Amino acid sequence: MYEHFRPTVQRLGGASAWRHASVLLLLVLMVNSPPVSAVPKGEFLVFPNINTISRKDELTLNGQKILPQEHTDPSVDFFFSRDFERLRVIAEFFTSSSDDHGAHFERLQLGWRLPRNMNLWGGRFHNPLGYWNTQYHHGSYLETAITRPGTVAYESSGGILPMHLAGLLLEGSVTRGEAMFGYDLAVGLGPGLSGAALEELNILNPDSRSEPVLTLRLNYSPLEDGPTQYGLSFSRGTIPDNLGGDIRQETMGAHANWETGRLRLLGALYTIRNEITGSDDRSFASGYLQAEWALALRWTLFSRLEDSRGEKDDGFLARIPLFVRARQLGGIRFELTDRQALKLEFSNTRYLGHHSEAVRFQWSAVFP
Amino acid sequence: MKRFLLLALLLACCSVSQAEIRRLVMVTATPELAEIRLSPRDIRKLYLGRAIIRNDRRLIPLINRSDPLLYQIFLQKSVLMSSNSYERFLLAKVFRSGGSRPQRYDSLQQLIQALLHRPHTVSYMWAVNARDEPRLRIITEIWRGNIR
Repeated sequence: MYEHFRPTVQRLGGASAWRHASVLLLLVLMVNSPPVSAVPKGEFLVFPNINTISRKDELTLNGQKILPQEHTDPSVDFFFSRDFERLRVIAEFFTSSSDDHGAHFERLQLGWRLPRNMNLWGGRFHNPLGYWNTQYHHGSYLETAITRPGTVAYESSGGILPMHLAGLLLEGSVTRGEAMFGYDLAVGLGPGLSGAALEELNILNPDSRSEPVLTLRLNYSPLEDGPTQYGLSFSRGTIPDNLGGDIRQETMGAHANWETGRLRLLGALYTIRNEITGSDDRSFASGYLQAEWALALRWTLFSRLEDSRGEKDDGFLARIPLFVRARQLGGIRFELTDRQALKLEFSNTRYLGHHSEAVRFQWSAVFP
Repeated sequence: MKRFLLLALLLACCSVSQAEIRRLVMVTATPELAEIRLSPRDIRKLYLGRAIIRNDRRLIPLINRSDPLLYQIFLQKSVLMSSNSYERFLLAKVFRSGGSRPQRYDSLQQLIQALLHRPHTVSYMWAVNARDEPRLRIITEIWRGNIR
């Protein structure tokens, strides 16, 4: 019953398992093969984490359990990157004990480094939409909080926007004095709506229906490679519905990350227009604001507010019960070592017709 | 009052004589890079993973962690980040867009060997250490100051 609400489960089995294992083995051999020169040109990183969650009540919908009261979920994210002259390979393979993630390649991209700080990528990549999805991937250790904001949640976790695309991505930057202007232009196949969640395109087993998505992101950093940045993004695409019909989606967003001393503020605001075939279109706004305060060398307090406006009449959102419409959360992060962190997070979340109070605990790390 | 001033002057002189003037310099062992120019901004970009091209070749930065004080001064003066922030920045950058982090060395001898044997590599060290190895060339001075 639980799986009914997790249509994106990609279990490893049969030919699929062999395909995944072959690609992973190839990548490990590539990173371990003798390099062309003595200078290292590759990285192999492992991001393990263990999440435990305790909710006040389990969440049910139409008599079916969609979120359990207690849950522990160990997962590992393997990251590989290597340069071959101007060619760059990135692979990220995520495996989890949880039914809603399974095991699959989150990113598998081949890039060509062009002059003038430009890169052209092909493959499966993170849609350059806003701040969070371009800064963070599946290695939870690098994120201060445990959870992602609902607006930029992954497709299988109640997400409503295409977070992964399979296609082409052009990214680049131009410096002017101390400042840097960045841009990303992506065209690729996005997710489909299957049951009660979006289903990402699996490029090693592309049996689901996908439609193109176009995304443009513009970014400004007052200090080149500095943490503070402001930007705009625009995305337009079609989400095919396995029950028939399509959802035409248009997203406009503004994002910012501002850091000074011990304080960091990051946030994004999106307006999203969904038009279901044969129905009127609906628009709503959704966003988040996160504050982080470094208490001391090893401790960081964080808090996040998420909210949506005008989302109640949206027929597309009505199909995704796990979309976070509003949330207030607070937590603390402790750096256990240089490469390990413990996080504790308290949250109060509003879903479609439901409400949940939860406590999450996470151990996360990166090796080597 | 005069006695107090004399005593203070004496103490100040002693403290200056105990201080050691050090120079932190960028070095290379690649002959064609000996005459290149690197601005403080170039050095920062280099160590933040940006491509710095000189003589049609991309410079390869090596991180010297053989002396904690030297590393801290380098981070403060060139990278403008704390050690933790820098490590996190490099990790996040690689995780986001691929590539690899600069090679790190905890031993000065190993760093010098890497500079001598790997073309187009550059790093930073105390000038006094650079002068001990005649095949190293000083590209530019990053910092000069007193260390007690």
